[in-house]
Amino acid sequence: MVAILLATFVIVCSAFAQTDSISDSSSSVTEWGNVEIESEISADSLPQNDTLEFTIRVKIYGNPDDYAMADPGNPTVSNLKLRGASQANRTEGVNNEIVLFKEYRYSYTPMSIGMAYINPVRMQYVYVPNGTSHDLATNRLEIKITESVLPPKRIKIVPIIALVAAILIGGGIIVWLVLRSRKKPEIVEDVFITPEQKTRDSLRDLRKSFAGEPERLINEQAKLIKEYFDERYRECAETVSDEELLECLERKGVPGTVLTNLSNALLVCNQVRFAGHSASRADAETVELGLESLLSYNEKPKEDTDDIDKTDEEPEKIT
Amino acid sequence: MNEEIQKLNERIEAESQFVDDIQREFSKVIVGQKYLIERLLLGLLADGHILLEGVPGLAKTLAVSTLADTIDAGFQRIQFTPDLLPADLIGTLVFNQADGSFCTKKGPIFSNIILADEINRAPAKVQSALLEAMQERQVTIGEETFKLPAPFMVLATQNPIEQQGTYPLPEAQIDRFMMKAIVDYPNKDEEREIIRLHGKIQEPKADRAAAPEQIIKARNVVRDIYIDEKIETYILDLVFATRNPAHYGLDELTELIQYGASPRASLYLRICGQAHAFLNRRGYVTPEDIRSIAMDVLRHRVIVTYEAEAEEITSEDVVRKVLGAVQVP
Repeated sequence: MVAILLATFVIVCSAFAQTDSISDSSSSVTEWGNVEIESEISADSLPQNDTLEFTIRVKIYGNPDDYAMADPGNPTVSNLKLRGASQANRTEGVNNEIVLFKEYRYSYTPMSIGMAYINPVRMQYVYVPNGTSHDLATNRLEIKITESVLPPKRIKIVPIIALVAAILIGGGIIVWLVLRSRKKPEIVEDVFITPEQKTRDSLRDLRKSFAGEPERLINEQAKLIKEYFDERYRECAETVSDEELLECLERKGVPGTVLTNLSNALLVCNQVRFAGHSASRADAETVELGLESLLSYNEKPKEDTDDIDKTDEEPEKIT
Repeated sequence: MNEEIQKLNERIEAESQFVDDIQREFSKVIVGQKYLIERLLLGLLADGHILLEGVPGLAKTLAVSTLADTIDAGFQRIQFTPDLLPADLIGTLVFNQADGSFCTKKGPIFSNIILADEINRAPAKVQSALLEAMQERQVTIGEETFKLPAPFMVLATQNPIEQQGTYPLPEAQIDRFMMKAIVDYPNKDEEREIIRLHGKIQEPKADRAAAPEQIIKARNVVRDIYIDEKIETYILDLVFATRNPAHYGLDELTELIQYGASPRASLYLRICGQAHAFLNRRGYVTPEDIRSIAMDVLRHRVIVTYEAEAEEITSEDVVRKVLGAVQVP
């Protein structure tokens, strides 16, 4: 477990440690009086599919109004294509002195493999108090353009966090399962009720509930027969007609007398439910006899099935 | 039992004697194919037309011609081909040079049992002429309209393979068939019996077992068979579940069904259920009667969407789900 966590930590740390910055630069500084100029490129060697950032910074110390300075314009370059340019000015107080920072930033994309150059950028300014004119220039910069490379594959942090979480949860579950398996199993008393017992109980309840309503009783008995078939003879319950159902039961070894009783029961159910037949108590008894026969057959051990006719008990009379 | 139903049962018993005779004659010629024979009898009793689909050699044509033999009815087999014309089917007016007049030459459709073999091989105009005759039960040639003989029953066959160059029946026309029965291969024992039976020098032949008048009388009894309100509701539930499956807890079918079954499906479910009860000598319809014929009545009436086709879900799968979901009374 500790090893897994350690390995995960290492993966996460290495993911954070991987960066794709290019940190090579060159600069030139020319100083005249209180004005400085500085240039910088983001890399002196870059792949053909990468972007080069070229920055010119001008610092003016003292009162900025004493200096009249034009913008440098786009630098003259070779084997580079200008993609964008921007300018930003800000004023800061440094050592009780006001300093104006002017920054000009240019983005280039290389055009072909080989060398690329940025020619010196000249900036003229006039010192207003005495009207003198001055020049400042940056150095010529050269950049090596290499073959295109695929962007570095970044490891995304979200899947790593998910992985860590999954490992922690999985570990927790394993520990819980191990601890649980060591516990002494509890003794559960499982009371198994057979489908026959359940159906017999329901049959008794129906008899009580619908004592004076044979039609409703038969409707409910028909549902009970269906439920019993679904539970005990799933294969036969999928058949479409009653004839097919009885054939299926016959194949399963249900004796002829039971099938006859059941056939009569199903016939009565159909007549009451779908033929407008007004049900009587005798009809309800016929249905009950059919189901009881099958229940008794299924409750008996199979070697006794031959004499089921003799041993079948008459169902209780409906009162 | 209800007195009326008792009487009806007696009528059915009296009028359905020929059913056993027809089945016996069928068994002389055709081995197995119980399903196909039952569907033919249902079509005959319910006065509907049947579309049979099955690969060649499954005794579809033989079954239909045997049916015609057993009821002593006129039988015509029309092989549908791409060059067939409506006049080849219904007939035409022929010029008589002797007296300079036109006389009517009736086509093969003027018969009791028509076998339209490979109906999807003929162009739309021929299919249309046949389906119009099926619906109207009359044909107009020139300016004269002729009633078709009764009983009139069309059994059309379709071959599910070799679909190149066929003209699939449009949904509106396929709806006119009461049932679409899929004929399957016989099992091994049945096929052994087939090769023994048909390997003899003399081909077996069915004898007459019923007269067309008996069929018409039986149809009247079929229409009188009691159908309970619960069964009617069950029929409506089945049909409506193909139209609004979500109302029956079948949300997954909503995207799969383009068109549900038409009201004609409800009518045919009822009459086929009654015919099925008649075949089982019963004066009332049970849900089992409806379930037995529901697939054949609904399979060609439920049109599935492209999404269902892409997922290889057929109309039969949809009907099977509907039958499984709709509560049986």
